[in-house]
Amino acid sequence: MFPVAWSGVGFFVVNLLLGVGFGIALQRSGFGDSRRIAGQFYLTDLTVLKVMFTAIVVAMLLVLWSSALGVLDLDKVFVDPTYFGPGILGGFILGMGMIIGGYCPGTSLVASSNFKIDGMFFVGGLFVGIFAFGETVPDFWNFFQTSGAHGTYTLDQWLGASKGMTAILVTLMALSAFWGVSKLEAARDPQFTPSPVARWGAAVLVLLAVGLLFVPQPGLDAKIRRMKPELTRLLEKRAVQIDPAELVDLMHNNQVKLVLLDLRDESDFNLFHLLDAKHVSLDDLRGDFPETIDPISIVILMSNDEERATEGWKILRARGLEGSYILDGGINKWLAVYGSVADVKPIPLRQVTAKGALRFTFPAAYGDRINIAWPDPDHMKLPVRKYEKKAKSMKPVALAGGGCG
Amino acid sequence: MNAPKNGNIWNPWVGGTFLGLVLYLAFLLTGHGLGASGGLARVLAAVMNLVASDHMRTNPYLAPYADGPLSHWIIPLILGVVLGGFIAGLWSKSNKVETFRGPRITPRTRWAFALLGGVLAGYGARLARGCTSGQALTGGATLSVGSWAFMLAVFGGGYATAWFVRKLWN
Repeated sequence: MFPVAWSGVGFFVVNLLLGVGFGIALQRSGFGDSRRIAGQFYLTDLTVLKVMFTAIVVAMLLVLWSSALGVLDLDKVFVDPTYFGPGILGGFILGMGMIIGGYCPGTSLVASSNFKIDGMFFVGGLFVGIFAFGETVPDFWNFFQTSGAHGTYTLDQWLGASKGMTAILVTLMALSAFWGVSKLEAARDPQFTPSPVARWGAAVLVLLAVGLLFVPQPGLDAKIRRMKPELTRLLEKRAVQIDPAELVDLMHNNQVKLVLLDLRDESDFNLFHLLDAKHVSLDDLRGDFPETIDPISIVILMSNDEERATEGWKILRARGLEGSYILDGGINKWLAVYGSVADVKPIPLRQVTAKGALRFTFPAAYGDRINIAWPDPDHMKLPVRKYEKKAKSMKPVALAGGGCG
Repeated sequence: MNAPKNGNIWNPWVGGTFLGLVLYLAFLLTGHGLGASGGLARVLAAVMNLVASDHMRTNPYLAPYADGPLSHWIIPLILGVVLGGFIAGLWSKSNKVETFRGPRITPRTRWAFALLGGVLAGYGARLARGCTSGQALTGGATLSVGSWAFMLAVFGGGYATAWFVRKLWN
């Protein structure tokens, strides 16, 4: 199953070779020459548009086919997070830089590797621009981190369509752009004849795109089945069950984005729940709800015991939220540990046999209006517990992983 | 425009397909796409680490780059881009010292504008969290809405500015 987690020499060699392929593709497509790139903006040379959109469509179709055939795990493929504000402003500035300077970052490296002096000046400018950005971004940090921030947000989600249908639309859009370009070239040059490669290529792309409608992308249950060995290992090692005391520390750690999800029945939730816990069902987790969770969050799932929370945890992991954890022992253990310091004491129930039931009750439905809904170590004498720290804070998406990282 | 000759380059449909295959292999083999500007940012971070390490750690943007900036996948990748560009330059016999410019400007003017364009492109790419490689190609193929918006903005910025700098190229 791809992708592969590379390390050591393999990591270096694979990325180096991908870079070599990238460099060759850019240079042989003619992008080591600033005049060709500038020509795109005066419509005198449309190579940039042709090559770029062909590459995007080819890669998109191959990625989706690989995922549909179970070769590639789409959840492990990096998708640039969406930040409309800085993305659009930055793109506009980059576009200005491209027509003024004649290159973009990747193509200027290629031009420099061919000893083009203008390419080298451009690379020098890039360093200056990157330095200037690092020095000035603290002044508009909020805009950079939050303006139009949508996390992972894909065209199929935006359109409410399947990946296959979206791929067809993108392919048709690219082909219409190519058709428009060929009309433009034909109008300019009466000798122009469209290359037969183009016609066959277009037919192949349309067939590949339409075919995606008949081989659906793997659903959630297929993903959970596929991830089963890894998930079982984590569960059996108890590597993802968070001790109540660790959760208390997380509640007081303002460096982490904490999301608490309570999967219990509504009556139990109304009796008592942790401060800021959201009441959700397993169906919510299978639906749109997880898309509202910032992928850098630490998500703690809880039920009365661990069972339902574990089911929910599998779903969230399969949906790519790697910062998901389970509250060790659930709310029952929480109340057993902190009940003694509560301002409203939980009353243990003697005869509870039902699996997954709450083993305590309260004089009334208090919700989160009990001090142990948010135990405060500064003002309460909490029982001292030793625990093994398990929750790992995810790196901010902006700086993690892929793209131009 | 001093139109570049087309004889020496691949048919754009062939070049685009080849580039698409490389991009696909990047997703398949590593799960990340391609990139460029992020690599330069890390090289810069490594240099700054040597001369101004304390300064970096107080800056929320630079601080995460302070730890092992060169251990990221993008470093071997951009080394490969330079190597691949050089190999392709040998192949197409285009490795020679020269300055590509419009017919009406001197090399010196061209260099100044290349530098200025680089500054803008570097700033814009970091602001947008990626450049034509890491956002447009990578995010375009993975259907990121933000990357498509970015791509439109790049073309918007280019076309909006083209008229003002037409003397540079035509």
